[in-house]
Amino acid sequence: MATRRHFLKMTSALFSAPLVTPAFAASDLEGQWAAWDAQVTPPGYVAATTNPWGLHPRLLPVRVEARAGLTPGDIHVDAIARYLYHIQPDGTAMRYGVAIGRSGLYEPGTYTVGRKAKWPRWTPTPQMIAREPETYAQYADGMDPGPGNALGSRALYLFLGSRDTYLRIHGTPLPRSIGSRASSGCVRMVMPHIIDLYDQVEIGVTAHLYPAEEGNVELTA
Amino acid sequence: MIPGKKTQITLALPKPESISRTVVAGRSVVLAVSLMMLSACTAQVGGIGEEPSHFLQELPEGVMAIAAPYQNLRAVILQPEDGCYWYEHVGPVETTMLPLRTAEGRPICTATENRPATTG
Repeated sequence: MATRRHFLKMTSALFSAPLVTPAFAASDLEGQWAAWDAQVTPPGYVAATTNPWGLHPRLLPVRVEARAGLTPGDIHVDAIARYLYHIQPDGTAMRYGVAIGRSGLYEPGTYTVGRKAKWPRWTPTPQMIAREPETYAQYADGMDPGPGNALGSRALYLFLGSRDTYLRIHGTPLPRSIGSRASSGCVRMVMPHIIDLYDQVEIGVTAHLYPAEEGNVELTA
Repeated sequence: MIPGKKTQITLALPKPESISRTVVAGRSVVLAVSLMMLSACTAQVGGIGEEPSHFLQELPEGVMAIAAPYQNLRAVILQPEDGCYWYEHVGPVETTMLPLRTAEGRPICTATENRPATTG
């Protein structure tokens, strides 16, 4: 016959077991993320000067004076310059070099950062698979997170209202593409750069993506 | 053009014959120009009555001919550090200098300077 004490022990066991498992998994996941962060970050990394990727120096992170009246926390992507700016409360902005989408794929507009994720899983959109099946069809079921994943170390998901646009600001396993028009519409960053930026960006801030130059200019400096 | 592949193009330019101008289609476009050339074959870019500025008052015609049209050719400098042409870009957050590019996106540089990596 079940006593009251027995009932309490049973119910507490039922409810506590699921709580313990996710806590362990989360810790495991964070350990994996930390290991991947270390893997993509060069030894002795200094944002302003570390450059094993051979980027033009102008594309390395730097703090600049920002125009007056810009909202702190917002993101501005100057597609012509290939710069992403994160507006600071003191009237400055952190500037990072980026790659933008190829002509016809880059979509300027005003978006909201609706979600952000560390070491995300990536699945190409049906449009990407239809456009370039030889490249993307193999990942139709998704690509596991990690340093080789197309979204890299971090992703900021751009929304229009409550709708995910599938545009992202993300890290890239192809850092030498920074400064070019190489992506399928997203804004790419060097992985250690977006690791720095990620913690500073709050959900709900506005991301302004400005128009690029005419034509499919793939190379820059 | 194929990145990395070198193609030599001779631009149709006025004399003198001591001035040869070549375009190398690699990671950047290189203009082999002499100082004589800079003064002999140029296009006026500054406006009448404007204040003197650090921008080039006259831009070599060869540069004018190959620069992509969306750039501000009235505010160009020849940066001594890399030997490349840069123009003033008025962006949404700051006004800054950007490498002057051809329509294919290659930076336009003189032949005599050491240039930094142009990746990106």
